[in-house]
Amino acid sequence: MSESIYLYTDQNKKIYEDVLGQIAKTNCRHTSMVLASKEAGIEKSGFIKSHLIECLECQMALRNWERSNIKLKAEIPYIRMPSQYRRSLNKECYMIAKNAAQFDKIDNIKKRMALLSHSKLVIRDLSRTLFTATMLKGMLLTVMTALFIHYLI
Amino acid sequence: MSLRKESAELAAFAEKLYPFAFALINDETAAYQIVVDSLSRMTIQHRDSMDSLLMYRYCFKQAEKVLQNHAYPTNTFFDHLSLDEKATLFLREKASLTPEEITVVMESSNTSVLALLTNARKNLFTLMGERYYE
Repeated sequence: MSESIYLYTDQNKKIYEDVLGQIAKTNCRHTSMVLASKEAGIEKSGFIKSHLIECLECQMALRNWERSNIKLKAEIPYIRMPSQYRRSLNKECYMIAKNAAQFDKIDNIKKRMALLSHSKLVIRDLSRTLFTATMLKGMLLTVMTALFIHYLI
Repeated sequence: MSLRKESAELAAFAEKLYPFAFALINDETAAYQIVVDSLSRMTIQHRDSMDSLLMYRYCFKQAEKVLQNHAYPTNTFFDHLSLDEKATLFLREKASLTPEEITVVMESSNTSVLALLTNARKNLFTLMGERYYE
């Protein structure tokens, strides 16, 4: 009977550690979470912070992400306002502010007018119904209803 | 607030807003017009509570409206992204807004802003012919 061969020996310890290390490097299940927290700007807090200290894969992924982000940032245009527009902008802004102030005034006047017309309508309705047959009918109806309720109780 | 002070404040807003408008539309004149239009709308509707997030929101809406009727040149890789992607990526990377602040501008949830950001990065990298690290 042949002798059992143990693959794990002290001589091979270094090789196994390297292989297992490589597997761990490419199999961290937290990498996506680390990158997502980087996107959300919360990578320096709680679990992610402590995980980043010990996980080589996540550290590398984050470094790669940051490196690619530099290229990406360079691709996004950031153009300041050209001087010819800047000259006309001050005038334009003054006009905008002036118009907005006038609009505020108009708005206030409109509100006041609306309130005034509403109160006018109330007064007009009251004057139309005061001491008329409609008012008498209303009063009679109220008295009758009150008497009916009194009778029921 | 005096008119001069208010107009100076508006001009400062416009300076900040122009790069954003240009990134969205890639046309100098159109970007300037968008800035002016969004400032006028903002001053009329929110004169007492103007802030930079509100300003970005008006600008984004105005750009959306303009792009419905007109197509602008697409010279860079960035121009090939969708308007939402361009806006979120610009606000995050160039205006340095947090995802929470971007949700105010885009009027959407935090999750959809994060998804938009990730997609925008991926798409831009694909357009650039590079691998996006995950």
